[in-house]
Amino acid sequence: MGNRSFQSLSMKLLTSILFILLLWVDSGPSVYDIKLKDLNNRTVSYSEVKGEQLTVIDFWATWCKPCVKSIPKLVEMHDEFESRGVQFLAISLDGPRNLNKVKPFAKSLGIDYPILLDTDNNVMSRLGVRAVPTLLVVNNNDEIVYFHEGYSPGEEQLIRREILKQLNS
Amino acid sequence: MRKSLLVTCLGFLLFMIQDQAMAQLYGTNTFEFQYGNLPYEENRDLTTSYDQLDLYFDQGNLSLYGRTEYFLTPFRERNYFSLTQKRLQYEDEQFNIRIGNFYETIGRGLLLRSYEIPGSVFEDSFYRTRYAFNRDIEGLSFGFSNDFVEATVIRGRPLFNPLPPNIEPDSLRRPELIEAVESHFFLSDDISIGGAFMRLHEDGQTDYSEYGSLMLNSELPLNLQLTSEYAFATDTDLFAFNQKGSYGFYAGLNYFYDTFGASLEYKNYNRFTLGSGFNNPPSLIKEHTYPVLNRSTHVLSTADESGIQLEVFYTFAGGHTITANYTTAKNEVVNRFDYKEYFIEGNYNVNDLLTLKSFLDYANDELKGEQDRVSAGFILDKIFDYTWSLTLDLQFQRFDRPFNPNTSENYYASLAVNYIPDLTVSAVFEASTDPNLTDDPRTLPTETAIRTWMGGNVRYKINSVHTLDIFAGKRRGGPACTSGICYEILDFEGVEVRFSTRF
Repeated sequence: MGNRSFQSLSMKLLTSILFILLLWVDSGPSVYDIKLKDLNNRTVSYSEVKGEQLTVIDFWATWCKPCVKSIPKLVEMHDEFESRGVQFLAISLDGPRNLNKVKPFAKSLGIDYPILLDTDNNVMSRLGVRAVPTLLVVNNNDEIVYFHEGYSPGEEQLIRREILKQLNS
Repeated sequence: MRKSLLVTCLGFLLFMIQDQAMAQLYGTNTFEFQYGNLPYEENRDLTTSYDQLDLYFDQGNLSLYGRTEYFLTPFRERNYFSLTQKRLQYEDEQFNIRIGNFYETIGRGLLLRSYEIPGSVFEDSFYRTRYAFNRDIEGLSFGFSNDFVEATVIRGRPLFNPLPPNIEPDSLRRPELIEAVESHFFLSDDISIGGAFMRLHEDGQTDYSEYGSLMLNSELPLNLQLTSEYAFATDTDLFAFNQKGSYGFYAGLNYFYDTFGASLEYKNYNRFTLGSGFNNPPSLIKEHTYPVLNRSTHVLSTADESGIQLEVFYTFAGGHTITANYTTAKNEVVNRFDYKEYFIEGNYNVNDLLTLKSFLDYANDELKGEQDRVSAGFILDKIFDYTWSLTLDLQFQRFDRPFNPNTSENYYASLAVNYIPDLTVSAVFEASTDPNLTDDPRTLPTETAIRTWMGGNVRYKINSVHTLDIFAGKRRGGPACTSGICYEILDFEGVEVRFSTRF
């Protein structure tokens, strides 16, 4: 058997096995103990910054226009829910090209919750994030209970409703 | 390749028989079907399909990852079905060990930057094969961190991503071996210093090239932060900054006070394209998402480029924002070329239901031959009853080219309706009088009649797992930048359907 046909057969076999397995897998990923650098170049783990009840993770970037619209709404929600054990966490997807802007940009928009840097998009890929912004709500068992892609004005109402629903569940 | 496939299959099967309560399987799948072709191709009814499956299996500190991609067309030489990435990873509080394909950046990317643009599908006009757009490293990485020191050791082969996965032999796509070590020391809460050493061995060469890097990150008083990196070939006179040297220097200073923020950066790169181009220093060029500006971006030349970028942000009470940017760059390989750009944008919230945004940009890009380039845009966002919203986006650009008496103009207009939160329908119209675009390459005379593109998009989030995107019409290509990475997108005429799954 030629090398190419062996590869092809192996990959078809592997893909078939995986597709069959996927039929009975119905849950998304949990948030593993993410480790990312903060704005001071130090590595911080998810367990150090997560909330007691819920953690709201916002994947954003300085160049992303919908992010600029959504962040002030998230800051308001953070102020509203912080005392109820909800911790917001901003993960910037800016590469080296824009890293110097992350801190002043975030401060100018009033972000007062932790900001981590996913420069290589490792965490983004692993959590299945394909668009910016994407917002995840994670419960205290580290399960992703809400996944929201993109942002249009008005969608903050949906996010707020979901946080309340999770807090009351 | 055969061994790695067997190891991957066995790895998956071994993990599968473990206690399911401790393990989880998850991933994403993107399927894209196209009916149509590039504008000047003969066969207008070309059909292609592309699929990318990313699969993760986690158990405790171990994680196994695999990516398969396939591309299918009537042209056999363009097709492939391939396991393009695989990785075994161990991670705990202090250690991170990865074997297989991974992403790593040293410092600010002066020596090494690997990246992935999730969800992107790349196609080049020569190979006409579609594949994921990323630059990974295949090999081994070992990382260690505690409160005082962080260190990473890498040995691997970066991907040369202009070559598609169907190129044989596969080793052509990874033409060099790098070995690198990077470490950072935290002298206090406010200061860290770092260093890196990298050895590069290009296939077919007997010698190694060696590079070093020095890094500093410091929190200064008055809300100032300083970051800098100096990278160099080890046979270069340190800090000489002369034309013969092979070096890269980057420094960034940022500041904030209340809702005001500022970033000032300086770059000086000389003869610093490493290997096949696996390094990617900060370009210090404003990254725009407005279509007329995004495709006009100045692309960094690490052969010789220096310059500065200053950006300021201010948020007013009520959430109105203003951003201003000044950029200058100088290239001097044989002749000198200057680049200058002035940009300002404002966002005004009339009330909770209406937002207005506009931008104005002026630039001169001698290297691209664009003089007195003026770009402007106006965007309106209106929400109705928090159930649906409307976005109108109008943009215009004009510039002069040397040896062309006529001004080139670009027009962009889009109208999007979003039924919150599941359905978005939009129409995009573009037009250009740029002779580089109006000319039909199949004919001898130079066509100058205005060229237009019109297309429609539908995005439907079926549920929290599945999303459907449909495009129909003509789509304008050109340079595009995402996450700081610039690449070329091809024009397309036809229908495109994308089905994304996250599980």
